[in-house]
Amino acid sequence: MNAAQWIRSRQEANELQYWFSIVGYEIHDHSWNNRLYLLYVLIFFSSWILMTLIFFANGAKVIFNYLPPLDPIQATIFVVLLLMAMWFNYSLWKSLHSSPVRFSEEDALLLCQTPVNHRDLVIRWFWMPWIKSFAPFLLIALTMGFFIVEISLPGRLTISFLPTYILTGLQTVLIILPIHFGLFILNWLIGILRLQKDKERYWMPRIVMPISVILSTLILVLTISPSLETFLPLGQFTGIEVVSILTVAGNKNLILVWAIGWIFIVILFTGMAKAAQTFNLSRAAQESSVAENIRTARQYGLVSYAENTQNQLWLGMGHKPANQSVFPGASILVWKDIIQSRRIFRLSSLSNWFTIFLLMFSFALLPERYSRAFILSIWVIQISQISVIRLQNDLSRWFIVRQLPIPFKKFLVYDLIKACLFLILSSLLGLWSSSIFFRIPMDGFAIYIPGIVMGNAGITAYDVIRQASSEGLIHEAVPGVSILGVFLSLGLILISYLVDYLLPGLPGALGIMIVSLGFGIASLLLASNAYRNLAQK
Amino acid sequence: MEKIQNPSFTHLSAINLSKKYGSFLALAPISFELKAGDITVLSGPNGSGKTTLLCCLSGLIRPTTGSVTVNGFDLYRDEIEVRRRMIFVPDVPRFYSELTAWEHLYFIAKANEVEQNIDRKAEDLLHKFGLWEAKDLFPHHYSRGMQLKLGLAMAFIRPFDVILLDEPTSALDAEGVDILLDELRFLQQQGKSVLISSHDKNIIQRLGNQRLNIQKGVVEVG
Repeated sequence: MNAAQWIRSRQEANELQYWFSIVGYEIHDHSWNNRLYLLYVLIFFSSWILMTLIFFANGAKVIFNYLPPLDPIQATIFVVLLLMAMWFNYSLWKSLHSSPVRFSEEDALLLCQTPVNHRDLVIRWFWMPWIKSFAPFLLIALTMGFFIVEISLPGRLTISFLPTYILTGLQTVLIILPIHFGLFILNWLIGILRLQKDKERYWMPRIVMPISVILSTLILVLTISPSLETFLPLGQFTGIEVVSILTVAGNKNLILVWAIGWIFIVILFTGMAKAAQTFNLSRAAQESSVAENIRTARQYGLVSYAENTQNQLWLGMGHKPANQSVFPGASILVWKDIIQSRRIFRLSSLSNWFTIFLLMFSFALLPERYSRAFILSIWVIQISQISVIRLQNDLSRWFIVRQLPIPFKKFLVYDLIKACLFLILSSLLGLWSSSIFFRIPMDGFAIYIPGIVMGNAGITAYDVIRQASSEGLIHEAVPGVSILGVFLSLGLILISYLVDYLLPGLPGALGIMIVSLGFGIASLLLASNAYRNLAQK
Repeated sequence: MEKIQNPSFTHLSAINLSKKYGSFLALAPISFELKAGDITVLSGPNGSGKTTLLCCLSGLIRPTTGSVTVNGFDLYRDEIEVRRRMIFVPDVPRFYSELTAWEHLYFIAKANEVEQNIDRKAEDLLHKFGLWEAKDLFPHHYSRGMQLKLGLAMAFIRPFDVILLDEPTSALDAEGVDILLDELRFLQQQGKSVLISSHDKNIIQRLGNQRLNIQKGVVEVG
């Protein structure tokens, strides 16, 4: 077990090193300078996260005010529970198809074939995934706490409210923590029970998944219909208690719920440890090593490699031939793009487009310039990532692409056009749905969307090609969107804002369209030039 | 009926071609020509720079010095014209995950504006390389030898004057090697130029009217 302990500690240290390296901290440097820098990083990010979450809580207050007659606190709790139910069901679905205990290829060779204590190994492997899974819920819980302060404290908020914010935030975290922890253990327990000894329980997904979905739905219904609470003791585990604790009943109930929660957790954890004794490690490694490789590749920036491996898993063995294209030459790229998109389509692929839709949906609701600028920034970053997916995929097949007798400008246009069209459509659909749902006029920003999307796609394509090298592309290492690319895209939004500010009305609208398209065309020319020189690097 | 090239016609000309990575000389300056009907064998030990030379010739990597012309077209100034006339088959071909073997052939043929008989040509090639039964599979499920055969089929489905092959026999079975050699001899008769890298002595003896021997980046014309 010492060897397993040592390997896992190294893996955790690597993971930690990765996250610290993002903020520029070198974990192996023990100098005072570096320690002071860590202190600075901790203070900076704590304050930044605090302020951002307060900002989000404020935004949530504005959005939830549009949801009468539902009580805002109840609505928030409903959203948190909805997120938690979605996360749990998705994790459970994954655990029922692939082991929740994930081993790398090295683990499979070095650990899973050796006579280690399975229970100790599983428990040792448990903590890091749990912390990573809890992190987003920690932020959600804090936002929820801040939101409750926002709506319960009267008058203008000042710095003197900061302790109240922090205390309420922590109180909410204390409530969410056992719920998340319990669900996480339950998820692992079910995944471990599926792979026992030398047999796989194929029936489990068919039984467990529907039960989980039904129970989650019931809990969600209970949250918005408190009168039903008495029928099931599950209310203890729902956010209804959170409302009563934070607003009415005080700390007595909090301790009770906590105690009940932790009793459940101890029972579940004991069950998991017992089941782990007969857990089939080899089978788990077989199921999870590819997924683990994909995760590692993604973490180290080999996005195209990770995407290709994931797609290969999804695609299966083969496919009947697609309908033939009638057009020769460059237009065959469209035929290829359609086949590729169709074959790797899954529900999760829609999440990108749905995010774009949601961003524009909420954009129309925001009244003032600064909060709109914030949403626009996220929208721009998102469209940057999506617009070049096909280009990145093609560049990862450098041997094929480089040898096609197709001029690069044409190639680039064919690679970007489909993504641009869908981005424009989903953005416009977001604005339009918002106007229909809330009965407000269609936002004037709609007219700028085509220009900004196309300009942004051009900028991002230039950014990707600018960073690429032929040596890297031969080995499938395709660059992602860089910080410079993000800044250039944000610059486009800033210029659009300036044009709008300086030239209000129709001239401004025309100005923004001309500026965006100008940016797009200039970027395409730059990208074409960068491509010509790419083999030089 | 394919047009047979004049044997004295120079298809590919490399002048003073070299490649450096920082201070490391991967390929010392070399000049040579591939004439119509030439099969040139590029030999040398692992890491001697064979693949670097082929990548420089094909434009996948830009050389530090020198130029490459194909049928008089400069590799970088007239890139599209060169692409129409030259093809490079790497030792480990890569494929689109989402396209089947048959669709890869169709895609390459269409992109190269092959108008007639694509289906028949694809079928013939797949039969010839023993891939017909696996035509609807995704190539990532192929063995390395099968992937190499598909890479060769993708090259042969489109027109070209010069073909560059990087160790094509390294993963092929004996039957595959025979098919490839027959195909190369046919290309020779058609007046095409072939540059093939290999360290298989048998292949070197069976093929080639010109030899390029490469040692630590220095090429000797044999």
